[in-house]
Amino acid sequence: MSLKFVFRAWNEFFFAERSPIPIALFRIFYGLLVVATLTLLRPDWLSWYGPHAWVSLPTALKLEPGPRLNLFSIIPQSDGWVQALFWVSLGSAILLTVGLLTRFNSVLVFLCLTSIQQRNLYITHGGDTFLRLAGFFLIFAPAGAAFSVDRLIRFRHGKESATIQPRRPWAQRMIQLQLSLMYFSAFLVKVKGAPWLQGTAPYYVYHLDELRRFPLPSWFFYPMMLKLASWSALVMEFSLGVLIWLKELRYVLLGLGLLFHLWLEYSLNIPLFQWDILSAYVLFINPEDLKCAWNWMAGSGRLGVARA
Amino acid sequence: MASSTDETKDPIERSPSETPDLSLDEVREARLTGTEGNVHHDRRHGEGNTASQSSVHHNAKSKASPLQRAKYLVINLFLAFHIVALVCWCVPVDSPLISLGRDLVRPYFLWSGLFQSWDMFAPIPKSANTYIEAVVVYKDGSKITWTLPRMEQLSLTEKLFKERYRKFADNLQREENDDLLPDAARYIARLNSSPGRPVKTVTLIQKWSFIVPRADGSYVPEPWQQHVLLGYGVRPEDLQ
Repeated sequence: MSLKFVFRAWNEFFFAERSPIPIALFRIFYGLLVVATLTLLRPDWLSWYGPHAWVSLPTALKLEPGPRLNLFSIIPQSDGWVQALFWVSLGSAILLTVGLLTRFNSVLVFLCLTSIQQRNLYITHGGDTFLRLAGFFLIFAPAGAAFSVDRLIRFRHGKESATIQPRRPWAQRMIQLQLSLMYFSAFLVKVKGAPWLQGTAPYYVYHLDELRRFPLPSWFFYPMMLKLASWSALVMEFSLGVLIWLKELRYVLLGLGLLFHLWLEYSLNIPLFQWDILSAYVLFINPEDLKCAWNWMAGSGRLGVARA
Repeated sequence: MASSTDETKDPIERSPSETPDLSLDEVREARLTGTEGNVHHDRRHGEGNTASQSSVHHNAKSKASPLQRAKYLVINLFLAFHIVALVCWCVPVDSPLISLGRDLVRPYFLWSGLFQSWDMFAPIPKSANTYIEAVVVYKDGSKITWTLPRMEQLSLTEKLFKERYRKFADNLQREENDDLLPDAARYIARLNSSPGRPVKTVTLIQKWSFIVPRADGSYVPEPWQQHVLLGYGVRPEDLQ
């Protein structure tokens, strides 16, 4: 392998133009998930983030010292200001979803989301973390280049043609890398623990009362099934972290990953976590296949209407 | 802060078909056979004529403005730095080089919000059911027991909204988060106090029941045990 080959591969990976449809779809999913996150938090905005919250701002700053992107540390500490910050976040997330002032709103959503998490890191789960990380790279992506009000406006003003133009995917690639790094890191941490290798870890996880969601069949708790579940989790996390980059295996792994997360969604109560992660799967789908899927769905819809 | 319309003006993001001149990165990637960049190149300059290509590359290279070159360089530095930094941060290996990298990027990651940890149920999953209870004693001598919302006692809809309490209760029980306990005690005092019936003390108690695996996979709940996390004497200013 020569240095020239590495440079070429690097350029092709990050800069060879691709359709912005996947990143635009991701922007929509991402925006909806931020809206859902803020909505689920709505009854407790002040309980978690207000001036008299469970964790006070001085305590949060003491436990997490150093300079941080945190709008809470610069706004006046009053109920009104805290609520205003949340309403701005919500409004901005809605605008990002529809793709109006996309770049500006991607920056604003990231700033608000990071501030909200920095203000109280003791209630965030992995899904929140992923939204924060993906939000950072989304700022740099041409997320408004398709399926957006911005594009509609540009089209109306004759600044853009009817065909969606390809763009450089480097920011999209970073979100993909972040997702695979997340899986790979989770795999590496798990293999450090004997319960995962021995196959007893799921026994503990699924007997945590606080996490239980829907009932599981009794056969799932047979020792052999638990071993299978434990090792499957390891294989899935390794594969989605590393093997996902092999084109031939990608769709199979995305399908298995989808089933894996749907199973977790059914069995564990960690609201939105699975959807936060699954939202980024769209970035791994070939834009041409997305178009085919869209055409197929549109065709089925028309057929359905005709039949009705 | 860039506006949405800036997005279309950025030559790094812009499609070649929209640009009058080729940018430096176009030049570089257009040389890659079989890339989409090449497709654009061919569309404008003929069917893959090598001589024509190199001529175009030469012309385009000379046409790439210093600003475009600088942007290309900055993006590459940005990508290289973030990839190395993310790997150092995420890979749980204790090599001196990775630890050094982690220490170097820590201030930037903490500031920007790029810090992350993917230790869900790992390396060793939590092996006990736990919850937190607060014994609230009033100035008149009466007392109540108040419990942080427990997911297993909530409906499916309530769980959606109150799941953050599970995470918070988990964090309250960690030794490294002991500084959170006085804040939590004060919050509980405010929640249960009224002007006519102020709270005098709050005692936070951790309850736990071990999860013990059985050979046949069955589960029998173990007895609950308890441990006092904090006894807090409430001051009048805590209730304001």
